[in-house]
Amino acid sequence: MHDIFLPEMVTAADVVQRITNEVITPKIEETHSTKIASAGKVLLATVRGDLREIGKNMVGLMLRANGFNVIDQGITVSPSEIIIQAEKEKVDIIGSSSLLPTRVPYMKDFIDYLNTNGGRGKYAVIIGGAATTPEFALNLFADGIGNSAAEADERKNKLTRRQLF
Amino acid sequence: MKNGQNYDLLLSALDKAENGMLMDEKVWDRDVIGKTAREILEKYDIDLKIDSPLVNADNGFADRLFDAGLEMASRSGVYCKDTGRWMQWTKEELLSALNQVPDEITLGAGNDQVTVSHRKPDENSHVVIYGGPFGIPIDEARFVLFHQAFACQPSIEIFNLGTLLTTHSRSIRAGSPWEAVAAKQEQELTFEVLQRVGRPGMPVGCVEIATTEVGELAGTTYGGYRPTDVHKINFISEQKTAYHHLIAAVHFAHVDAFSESYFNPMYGGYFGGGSGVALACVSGSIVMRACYQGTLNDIGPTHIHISASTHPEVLRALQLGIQALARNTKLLTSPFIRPTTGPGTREIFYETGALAAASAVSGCSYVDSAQSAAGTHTGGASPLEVLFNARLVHAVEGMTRNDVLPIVDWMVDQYRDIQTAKMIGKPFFDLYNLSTLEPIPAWNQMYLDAIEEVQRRFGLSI
Repeated sequence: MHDIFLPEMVTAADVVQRITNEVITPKIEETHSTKIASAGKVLLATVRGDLREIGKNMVGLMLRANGFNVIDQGITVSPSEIIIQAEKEKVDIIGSSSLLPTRVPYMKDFIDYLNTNGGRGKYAVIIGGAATTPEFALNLFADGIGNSAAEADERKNKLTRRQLF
Repeated sequence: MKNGQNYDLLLSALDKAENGMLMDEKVWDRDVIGKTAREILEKYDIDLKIDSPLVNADNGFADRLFDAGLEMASRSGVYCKDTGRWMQWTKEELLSALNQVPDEITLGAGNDQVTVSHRKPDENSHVVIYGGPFGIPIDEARFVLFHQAFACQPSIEIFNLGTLLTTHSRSIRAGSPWEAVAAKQEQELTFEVLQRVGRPGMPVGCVEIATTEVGELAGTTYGGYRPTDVHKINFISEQKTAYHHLIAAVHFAHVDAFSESYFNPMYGGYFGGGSGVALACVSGSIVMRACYQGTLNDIGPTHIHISASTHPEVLRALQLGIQALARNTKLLTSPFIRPTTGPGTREIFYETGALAAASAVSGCSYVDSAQSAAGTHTGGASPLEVLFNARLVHAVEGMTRNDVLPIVDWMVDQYRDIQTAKMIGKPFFDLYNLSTLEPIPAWNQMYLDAIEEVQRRFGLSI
């Protein structure tokens, strides 16, 4: 048996994305008046200063594989940049991650920013990464938490319904 | 300069970060790492099957892995995230960097000095115990007491710390002045611990709170951590660096400090599975030496789902990597022991012990023990798992890999089916008498039972 790991998953996801964008979607839209519904639109980013993103990338892969439209904003993204992009893309869910405890205050910044600007109710907010715990997520009033890409897959159906706790 | 550092080589690494070829990071991940790794694994026939022995005893295989790792290192190099550039070294440059590593260093000061020496597989020589609550979150109020319980153990020769949760009751924000404040506070509290236990010169792994160069610079300064301590720099997975790591490398060279380079290749990541992780252990160690000029070399491969270095596939890969390096370089290498289980469980002894024992006979120079329950729970570590590892490691020094294989096999069987069960155990404060800093009877009995079991089953004088 030949195992499949991240490089193969990334390549496969790229191929699927291209086929979907260049072949399937145009064909269906040609013959139908409505667009294909996705499971939801998700914006992912690591918090300001956090350079590590393998976990985020894997969560993105899992969500794409399950029909979510994922926008990856990359690493070390400031709270305002996250919100601007979320508004622009009209996402349903914002996910941010942090590996180290000293990055976690930036996660709080981002949620505080949402609260201050009245945007909190628009988005489901999920956090993840080794530094986060369910208690921290509850204290932040996040809608959910996950510590691995496998958990993203397990909980995908609850994401847009904010039923992660 | 310590560590066999060559300043010109360090400057050369900085040049590469500024002038190497521009590259998209996704292309790096997929092609430079992923595709190259697959190609090299096939070329050198590095195939760690699931039924391969957990501890390799085939020296030819280990040597072949080294050759594969050297080629991987010369073809992949390092990616600098801040500049978006590909840092590359020729094989000759890499071998030159490896040849300049001293095969023995003495850390610490006075009566607390400890010598770390190069070892080969099956060698009958001392393995240094680098012990402590590695990165375990701990509050300010209990920092000193918590660490005192570890630092007073004679078996622990180099001391590592937990991570402050707050500093002067404030959140510690990476890259901010609070990181600097926390670094200084950590150092002051740590030196208080060392004074209390009568080991002022014991070498300390530092700066534990440092997430960026802010913490390193603030902690390793006048009146702060000493050149004889162990200063840490790491790669970001896989084989990536950033300005704040390079700044730390420069600072350690300038203050003439010993440094430990460490990295955590990911099982299931861009290097792939077990075979890829073994390759990463070698390749990463080689380029890390060239990039940071460190001497101590710590490898903590992590399973992508359970965040542990003790998964059987990871353990198998790490042993082979350690052997390849021990047989072909003078690097002073250690496994980083990160179990899924926590203190207060029987399984933690076996989950940490398997990796410790396997590494000792594979030629590691020291053992990092342990980041209990993957390091995420406040106070979630205790000295007993470190002491168990120390006793086990010293008992197997001088045994062969084939001798130790049944021990490792049995220990892995004790925990392989529970690694996803999140048996985090209990925090230190529930397991220890805080007046005497002795374990409570129930926890101590678990420790004694584990020792007795290993003695009875394997006739080990542990």
